[in-house]
Order: sequence, then structure tokens, then C-alpha cells
Amino acid sequence: MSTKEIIAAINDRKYPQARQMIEKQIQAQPKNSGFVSMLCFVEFKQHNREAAIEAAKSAIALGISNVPILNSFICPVLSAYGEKALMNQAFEAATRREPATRQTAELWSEYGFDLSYTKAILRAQTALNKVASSKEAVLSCCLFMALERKAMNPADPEFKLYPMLACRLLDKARPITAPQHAYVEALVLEMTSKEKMAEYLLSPAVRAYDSLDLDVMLLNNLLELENWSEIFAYAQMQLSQLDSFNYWQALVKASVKLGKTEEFKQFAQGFKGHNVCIANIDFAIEQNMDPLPAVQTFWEKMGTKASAPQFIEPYLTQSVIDFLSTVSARSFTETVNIVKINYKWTKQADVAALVKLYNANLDQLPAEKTDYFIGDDLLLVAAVHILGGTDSDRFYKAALLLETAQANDPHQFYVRLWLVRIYRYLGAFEKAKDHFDALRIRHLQHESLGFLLTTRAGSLSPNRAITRHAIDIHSKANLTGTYAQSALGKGSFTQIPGMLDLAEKLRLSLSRILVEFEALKTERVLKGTVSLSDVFNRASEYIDNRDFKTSFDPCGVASHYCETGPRQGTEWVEAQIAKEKVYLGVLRGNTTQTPVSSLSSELTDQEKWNIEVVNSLGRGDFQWLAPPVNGDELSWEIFHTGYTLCETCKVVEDVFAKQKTNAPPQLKQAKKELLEVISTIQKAVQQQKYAKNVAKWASSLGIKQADRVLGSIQQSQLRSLSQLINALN
Amino acid sequence: MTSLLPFNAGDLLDCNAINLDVLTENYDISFYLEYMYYWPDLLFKSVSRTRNVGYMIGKSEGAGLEWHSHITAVTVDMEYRRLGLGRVLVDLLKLASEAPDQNCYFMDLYVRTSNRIAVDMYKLFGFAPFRRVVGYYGQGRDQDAFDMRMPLKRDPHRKSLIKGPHTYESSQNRYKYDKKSLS
Repeated sequence: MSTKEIIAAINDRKYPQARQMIEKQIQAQPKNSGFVSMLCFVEFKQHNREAAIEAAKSAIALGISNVPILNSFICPVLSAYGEKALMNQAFEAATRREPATRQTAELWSEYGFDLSYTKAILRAQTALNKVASSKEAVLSCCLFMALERKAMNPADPEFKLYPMLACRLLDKARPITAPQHAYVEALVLEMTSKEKMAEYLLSPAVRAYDSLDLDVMLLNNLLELENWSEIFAYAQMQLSQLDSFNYWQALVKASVKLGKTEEFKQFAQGFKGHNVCIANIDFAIEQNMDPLPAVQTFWEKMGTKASAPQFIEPYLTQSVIDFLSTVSARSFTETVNIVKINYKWTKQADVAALVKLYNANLDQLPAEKTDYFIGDDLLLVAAVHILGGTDSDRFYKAALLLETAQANDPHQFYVRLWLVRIYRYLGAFEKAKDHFDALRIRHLQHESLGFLLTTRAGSLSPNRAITRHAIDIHSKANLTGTYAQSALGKGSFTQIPGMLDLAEKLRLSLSRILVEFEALKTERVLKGTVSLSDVFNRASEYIDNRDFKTSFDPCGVASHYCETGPRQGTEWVEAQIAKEKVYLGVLRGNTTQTPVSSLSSELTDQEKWNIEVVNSLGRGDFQWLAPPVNGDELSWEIFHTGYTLCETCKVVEDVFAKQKTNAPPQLKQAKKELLEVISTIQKAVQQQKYAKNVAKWASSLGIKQADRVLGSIQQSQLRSLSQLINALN
Repeated sequence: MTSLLPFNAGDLLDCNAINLDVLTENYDISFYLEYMYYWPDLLFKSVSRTRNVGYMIGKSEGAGLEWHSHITAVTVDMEYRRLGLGRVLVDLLKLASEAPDQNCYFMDLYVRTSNRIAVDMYKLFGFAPFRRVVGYYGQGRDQDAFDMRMPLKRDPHRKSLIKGPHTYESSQNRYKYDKKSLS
């Protein structure tokens, strides 16, 4: 058989046949790195991660000098698994005997950017610089030496070598005439001496660039050096151009260190904004003085601004609270600010009083529809407070308050963010999706906010459209690495670290794999075709880009309210991958599977149950346990139980079908029993047992249209239940 | 306390409180990345402690006397409005536009003519309506825009505010320069 035949089998996705042919070739030519590389690729395609990596290591040890082999069989595997160091080793091995060609160096660089691996990019840029030197290529090498050194162990021999090498290289890039180039020179100088870096950044030639990057770099450099007299002068000079708090912070420190308190006070008098007010508070604290007078001045000037509670947060003390209790509010915004601060401090709220205050100020709704109504914050405080309580109707009451705020101020996104959470908790999934859609969450926002709708979506409200957007954004993840490469070519050096950072965050996205599992569960429940390959090809480390902090949460304790199960993380993902491996192994006839641990606190009871059933399939001694059903009230849990049961039954049926035996009768029985529970819950929803109480409560607070809101929640819940019943039947 | 810092790709995941605003457009990731690699010195953010509360995305373009910087997006978190952060971001772009590396003649921006609050705000910042761009906004291109300009140091005689042979006009747009159209 020829290499051509093997490649044809790989191209035709006949991997077992390809493997047989490759293994024969390896037996005949054990030192042929090409066949070992092909084996690596075939193992990868068959989801054998460890075997694929082992084959890659062997191929690298043998030395792969053929770049097409490297590019076709090794790089895609190591890239998919995120094996950065191994990838770099592969290229180093490939260029050991002969210097890299331009093609090899470019490929090396490309994969380096794909994996945000500065070491590989540096090696590739060095190789490229040797092949075709240019000013940009030289500066690129210098930039990556500096970036790479920041992550290095000082004991590494290159730690001492890079400063010298970079300085020498930089001479080839002179004259430095642009701020982007000066940024690289500053980084190079930083490697040799922070004093030299400061001297350079303070030089008239660099100051003339008027570059924000260089300004910020200089300030941080001076702070590291604790060069207080220079900071004192530099911060004042910068502040005379732009009011930026980082300079105030530095000036406060420098003034106190140098004992220039009078000079500071005199300088500060020339400023009016919020920054100087805060700087005065910090100045008092740095001098161990009572900050209250400065806080009072801050409040006098800024108390009517919506941001005042945010600014004052780090300085809250009982004496500040006492002071605020004496303030006679000059505007509705100031009243709301004081309410928010008090709530933050006491964690106590009088819901009736908040609603009354809201209703009394509805005449202040902004005329401009795109402006925000500060009164919304009152209902948000009330709703969050109710959600933190134990009242059994709390979700309905909070929803009523927030729907009231939303009706008056449709674009208030903090209100909608809470409504999405509450409605998902209550099983009113259509309503949750309506509010989510109204938030116009698009593009990259799906990465950080998509979890609001996609968390456990496959086992709460399986819907292909919900997971689609989130997956689409991830198809663009590699784009970021490509842009970073283009930025390097364009000499936009200051943007490179940020682009590499984003590329890494997207490549190792936890959101991404969570959504992929939801898509998989959705397909399984909706009886579509399930592909597991993507899940297995992901890297094993994850970065959590979910944004839990963009939420109205004055006390910082509400982010866990209304969650549909424990927050998922790496353990959850690992458990699901292990479970899928067991399932796939059983389908392939392998009955000696390692059981999946179901101990993680990131798993719900239903997910633990699902894993136990799959484990029994893996062991070859199928055991059917009754699925956990918690409570008889409607919440997300009944849906989670129902759809997890559907998914589990599908897995069991698949395995029994593969073994050409009938599915066990317990599956139907379990569905039947759950349908009975659901029927009871459905009747309770139809009767709206909670409605009378909640409507009475709303009426006592002067909240109108409670019946309409509660009715729409009920309708949405009933539709969700119908879908679940259909899935179980 | 708000600091002005460079805006980079890593910040894109940390702008939700700004971008959930109804008037703030969310673009495809490639849009932001293109700005970052073409105009790395013209993107800034405003940060309150560790929270991004506003940003400016600018670019520079044009030929000859039309060489200018353009405000593509300037936006501030709703809770941090009325503090003058928008103005500071504009001032920063002005400084960067006047820096030797850019050395622009003027700065410009487009705004809906119907958005009086924004038009008046930009006037306060130093911009003046230069021309009306007919049917620039809206799905049916039924809303006009003002092309507002602010002459910079390099244009001491404020020529950029006067239509002349150097004035660039896109063949896809219709422009009006008369006083009535600019009010």
C-alpha cells in the first residue's frame, strides 16, 4: 500500500482502515515521522486524545522536516488540543537541521497566534527576520522578547539574554519615529533598567508623541520606581491637560510622600469635577485624617449625579451614613442615591415605601425616550430585596415590580436582566426569551451574557435557536488571532497584547463548551443527529468569560438569586465529557469504562442521576434508578427533571438498540410517573393559587395591571409545560 | 473616579453595562479589531475603578486638506452620564488628532439632525454643523445627518468649515450646505 492510499482513506474519513495501513507502515519503517504523524491525525479524528498526543510526541522526537506533513497532520491536532509547547517543539524540531524557510516561519507564526503563544510567535518572528529583515520584523522580535520575558522564570537563561539581544536588534530599527515604535523601545528598555525606561519616556522626543499608551506606561513606570518628585511634577502636568483619576491617585501619593500637602491643596483648588472630589477624600485618608469633611464636600458637589453611590462605595462608614441621614435631597436622583446607599449599608428595605416613592415621582419620567428614569432603581432595590427573602411568592412579586418599571421605561436593561432570570426560574421560558431578545444582545455579548438564556437550556427549554447565536460567535474566535497577526504586520504594537488576550479568552472559552453541551442535549432531546466530535476536541483548560457582575446588585449578594442549579464550571464540563466518553465507548462495544464522578457540587441532582445511569451502562450492569423529583411547585426543576429524563432515556435506548435488545420497561414507567407529577403541577398553575395573594399585595402597593402580568406568566408557564409533556409522550 | 486608558481588544468582553444601552450600537468583533489595528492610538476608554464606563473609537482618513480624524463611536455608561466623561473622551481624541503622528486638519462626526440634545452637546464641545447629509440614517434612509466638524491646530483659518474645491463628497450621498439646512 502507498502513502497515497493512506491519505485517500483519511480524506474519505475511513479512519479505522487508515489506521491499519499506517500501523503496518510504522512496523516496517519505525523511524518514519510521516507515518507517525498520520497516526496522530487518525487518533485525533477518533477522539483518542492521549494516543494522538503520544503519536505527536513520537513524530516530533523523530524530527518532522516535511512542512506539509506538519501542517496537515500535526498542527491541526495540537492546535485543537491547545498543546502550545508541543506545537512549538514541532516547529523547532522541523527547523533544527535546516534554517526555516519563509513558508515554515509564517506557518509557525500563524499557529503561534492561533494559540496566543508568545514563545512560538517570538521564535517564528526571529526566523522570519532572518529570512527577510525589515524594521517591522525587528520591532516584532523585540516586542515578543519583552512580552515573553514577562511570563518567564528569572532562572531561565533567556531571561538574562533577551534584554541584551533586544537592545542589539533594536539598533537595526532606528531611527524610531512613531509612537508605536517608541512603545516597543520602552518595553526593551524596561528589560534592561526601569530607570532607563523612565528616562526615555520622559525625553522630549517621546513626550512630543502625545501618546496615551506612552503616558500610561510612564506613570506606571514612575510608580514602580517610587520616583515621587517626578510623579508630583508629571501628574500635575498631565492633569492640566486631561482630568484622569490615575494621575490624581499618583499625585495624592506623591504629595503625601513628599510632604507637599499645601501644594496639593492649592493645585486641587483649580479643579471642579468628580475626580478631584474623590482625590481629596483619598488625600485625607493617606494623611490619616478624618475623611468625612471631604466626603461631605464630595456629596455637596456630586450627590445629585446617578454615579454618586458608586463613587462613595469604598468610603462608606457609619459616620457617612449618619451624615447622609441629615442631607435634605435637592433632587429625585439624590433621594434615590441615598436610598441605594442606605440599602447597601443596612441591607434592609421598606418595599411599600419604595413603591410609594416611585409612584409619587412618575411625573419625572424623562421626556426623551432614550433617557433613563432614576426611579427604576427604587423598584430594582425592592425587587432584589424581595428575591433575597423567603416568601414563597417572591418571584411573582419581584416580577410584578420589575414589569411595572419596564412598562414605564422600556429600555432599562437592568430590569430586563432580572426579568430574564426570574422567568427562567419560574419556567416561563418564552417570556424570558422575549426580554432577552429585547436586550438586543449581539455578537461578542453572547460570550459574556449568553449564559442568561443558555444555562442548562438543553434540559430546561430545548430550542435550537437559543444555542445557535452563542455558537456562531465562537466560530469567529480564530479571527482574533488573525487580526493580531495583521496588527503586527501593520506595526500596531500596542494592540497586540490585548488581541492575544482576547484570542486566548475565546479559544479557551468556558461559555463555548457549555453552550456546545446544551446544543448536544437539545439535539438529543429533540431527536436530531448528535455530533460529539467538537466537544472532545476542545482544550482541557477553560476561561470563564461570563459576566455575572453586570447586574443591579447593590449589596453584591444577589448574583446567585434565581439561578437554575449550581453554577457550572470546569468540573461540570469534565463530568459531561467523561460521561459522553462512557456513552460513546459503550456504543462502540467497550464495556469497561471508567465511571464518571458525580460528586461535583456543580452538578444538579438530576445531572448526578443521569451520570449514575450512564455509569451503569458503562459497567455493563444497567441499573435504573428513579429520577429525582423535587417539590410539587412549578419552577425550573420540573423541566430539568423532565428533559434530563428524556435525554437519559435516549442514551439508554441507543445502547440497547445497538445491542439489539428491547429498551427496558422502566423508561416508559418513569416517564409515566413524571407525567402524573407534571399533571398535578399543571392543574396548580391553571388554578394560579398564588395569584390571589400576589394581586392583593400589588393592589395594596398601588401597582396596576397585576392580573395582566400574572396571566401572561401563567400562559407562558403552561406553554412550557405542554412542550415538556409532548417531549415525554 | 474615572481614568482614561487605552482601549484594547481585551476590553471588549467588559463593556456590557455600556453596550446594553439602547443608543449604543454593538458591532461585529471584526469591526472593533479593524479599528484597533488600523488606528491603535485612537481608541480610549474611561474606567471607574475596574469597571469600563465609556469609550471612544476614532479613526483618521482623507487626503490633502481633508485629512481628519473621525469619531466613530463615543458612549458612556448610563450611570456615569452628566459627569463630562463624553467631553473628556472627545478632548482626548482631539489631543491625539493634533499629535505629530496624526496631525489632522479637523475632527468630524455624524449625528442625526433630529437628535437635538446630541447636536447641542457637540456644539458645546466645539463642533459646528458643516453640512447636512440627506438620507444618511434610517432603514429607508429617511433621516438626515449633520456632518459636524471641529477645526484643529493645523487649520488655524478654519478652512475645514468652508466648502471648497478640497471638500470631499461621496457619490453615494447628497449634501446641503446652505444656512437653513444647517439649523
